[in-house]
Amino acid sequence: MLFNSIEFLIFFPVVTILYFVLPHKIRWFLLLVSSCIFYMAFVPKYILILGFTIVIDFFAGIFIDKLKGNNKRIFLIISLLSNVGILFVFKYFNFFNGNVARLANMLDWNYPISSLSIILPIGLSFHTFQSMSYIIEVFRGKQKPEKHFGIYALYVMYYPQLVAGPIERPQNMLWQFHTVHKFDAKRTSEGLKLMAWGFFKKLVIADNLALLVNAAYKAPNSLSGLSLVVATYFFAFQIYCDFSGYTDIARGASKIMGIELMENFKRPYLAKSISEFWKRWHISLTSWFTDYVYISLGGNRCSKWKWYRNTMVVFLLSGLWHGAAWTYVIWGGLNGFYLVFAILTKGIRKKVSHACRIDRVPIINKIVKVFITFNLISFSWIFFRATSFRSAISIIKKIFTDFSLEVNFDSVGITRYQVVLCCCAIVLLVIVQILQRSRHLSEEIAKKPLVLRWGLYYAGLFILIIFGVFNTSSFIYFQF
Amino acid sequence: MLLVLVLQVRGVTLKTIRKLIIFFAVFYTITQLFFSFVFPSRYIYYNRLNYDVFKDNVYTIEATVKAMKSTIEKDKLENYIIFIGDSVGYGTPGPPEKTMSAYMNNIAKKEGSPIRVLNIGIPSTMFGDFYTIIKLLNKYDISTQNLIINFSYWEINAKTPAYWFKHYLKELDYESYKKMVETGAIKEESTWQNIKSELYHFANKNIDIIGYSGFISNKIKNKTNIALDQPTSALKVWSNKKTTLIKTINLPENRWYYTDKAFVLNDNSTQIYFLNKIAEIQKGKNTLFFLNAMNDELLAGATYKEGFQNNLTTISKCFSDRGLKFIDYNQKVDYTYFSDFVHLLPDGYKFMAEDLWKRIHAKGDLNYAF
Repeated sequence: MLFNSIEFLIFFPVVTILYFVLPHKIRWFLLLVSSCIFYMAFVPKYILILGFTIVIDFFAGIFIDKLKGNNKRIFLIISLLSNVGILFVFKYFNFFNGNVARLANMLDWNYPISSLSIILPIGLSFHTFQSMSYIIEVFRGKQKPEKHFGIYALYVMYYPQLVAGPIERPQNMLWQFHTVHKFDAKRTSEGLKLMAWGFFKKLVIADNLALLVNAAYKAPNSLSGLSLVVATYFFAFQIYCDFSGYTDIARGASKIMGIELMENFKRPYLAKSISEFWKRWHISLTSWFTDYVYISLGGNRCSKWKWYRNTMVVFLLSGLWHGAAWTYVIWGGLNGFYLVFAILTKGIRKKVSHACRIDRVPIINKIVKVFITFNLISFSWIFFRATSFRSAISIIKKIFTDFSLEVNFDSVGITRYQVVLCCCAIVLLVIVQILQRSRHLSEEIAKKPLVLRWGLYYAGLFILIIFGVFNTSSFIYFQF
Repeated sequence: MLLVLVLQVRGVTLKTIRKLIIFFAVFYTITQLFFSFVFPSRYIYYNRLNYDVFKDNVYTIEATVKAMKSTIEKDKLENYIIFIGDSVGYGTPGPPEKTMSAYMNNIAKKEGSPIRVLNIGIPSTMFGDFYTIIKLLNKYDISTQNLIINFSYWEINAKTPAYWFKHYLKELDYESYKKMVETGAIKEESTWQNIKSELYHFANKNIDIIGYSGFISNKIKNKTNIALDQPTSALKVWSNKKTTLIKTINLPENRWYYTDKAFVLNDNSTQIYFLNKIAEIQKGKNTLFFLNAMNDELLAGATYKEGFQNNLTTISKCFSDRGLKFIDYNQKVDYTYFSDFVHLLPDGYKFMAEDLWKRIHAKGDLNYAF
């Protein structure tokens, strides 16, 4: 079920009201059934995959807690293998198989294995990673295994974050399902506002930007280099608003029921460095890789080369997590390279900024850093968005060889109105984000006189209805 | 009541719910007043339906019909002709001022005639759609005493009875809808899809901000594009794009537009079923049907084939058998007037308007007595 669908418009209030009507001891059941309905609205049969991993991980958790030594490890391996196995079969098999087949073809070998004709289950990477997080935490002794099967199933399937995160940790979630949550008017109001802002980001900003970006990336050869730069910038904002919009709706819906989900984005495009960007972008995934891969490999407490290797491994895996295609791997690798390069050139960069005296004017220094970071990230988005590696290369080639100053999307059927609308949407977002740095806007608005406050909400609602794109487009991150 | 009580027991303060209700009620009231008294109806209906808005939201047809009604009342129109039809009637690819109906209005104005032509042609419409539009107009008390319906060669042979208005057909003539479902011409939607359609319909009809939002954004879009000198695609005569057009019309999916296979236009045909329905509700009223001309030059041999010509005779007979006024414009429109294989350039529409005007205004000829 999509958040931006009429189904959710009915589903959400019904579930929320029932949640408060029912006594605490059966709320888990309501949420579990609702989550099943929510998930089955996509491809019903894939609930079996979820059910399979839930059963394995639930019992693996219990056995890991009871056993010691190698026996304990066996159950960890069983659990991880089943999760990774499902991920491999449904998400990566065709990718690897295709590459092997291509290689075999090049070497004139007979390769008999054909591709599987399966659809990727919605949000597979999200709930698999959340399940793995539980089992690793239990293994590490940082989390007691959940004894209530229903609550554990809910931990994996909780509908607001089931298909696109945030990828939660058991320490943050499980206790919340056991706690009695009473209705709180202030919390409800905050949750609704967060949801409204999420819908605004998705329907008004992301989906309008998508119209232009899709058209531009579909026919990049008919556009000038500068137009492609603009389209890529627009994609940077599109993907941010699409994904963070989803997170806001998820967090808001959950907040109303008293269950707090972790923050997944902290104004990432205001980051002053690539490493800061990754601390602000898709925080739940970055922290997952940091905790379970990067640190396990030795993190930065090892030789420099190993540190670089660890960074690259994490980002290549992160790329692969996003999708089974070389473009995603390159995107991840490029971000890893940025980080390694940043470590290597830290001293030189400091000297350069000192020599240019930029460091004497902090605000300029900051703006330059934000600008460079944003451009590096936007450059990497080209690989993320392009339909193929070849297409990404042709876009980059065009950007760096076509110096025409014309920004025109007429040739791809995008009117000037659409461009202006996209620019206005981005300006609005940037203003809000800048204001949010030092102020709690929601609370400030709440303190304003009623007429002003409601006037602002009405304006937002009006803009949402007039400029929102309502033809139920999916969220980008659903495919991961 | 019980739900409210339980919610209260669970600590849900009614104040929150009340506040939410008031918030949306105030918003609803303000927007309803705005759309009733401030929003100009010309933004919704200006010479023809706003297709840019309609294609994204079929339920805007009701806002369009209401705007037509308001035009009729505001201008105190008594003698008016309703012009229903497909994209040719709509005036593709020209602007709203250069459609057949607009040109007919110009002629009427020039001649000092009080007659007005109100166009509600919609691209891709079939006879089931025509019939549903008539029913919808009648529902809003818009007279179809004088009616012109245009259609294209392939439309009368189409298997789909209604392209746009299945939902409205179900609402306005359930018997016909049921019959179409039984014959398999219309695929019944799932219960949930039906509920969703009902909800969309209800929201569009009763919440003006939803029903009219497309018109506002469309107006802003047009104004912005004009202010920014957005280039518009120039209207081109078909011969300037001949290669592309030939390629397009030769695509397998487009060959049915000019097929020479024999048309079976008996009572089992879905289009004829609705033609009969139109004849039934238009009995005693002035109704004129006309068949759009095809571009003989572009379609070359296709329109001269025996099968094609026989089909034209079958179509003509189909109308004469029912005592319906009918004009076949094939081979009556010069090929230089076409923009493609069936649509006309403004001059073509002007030619058609003049011809139609002559016919309907010559008292007695088509029994259009104004």
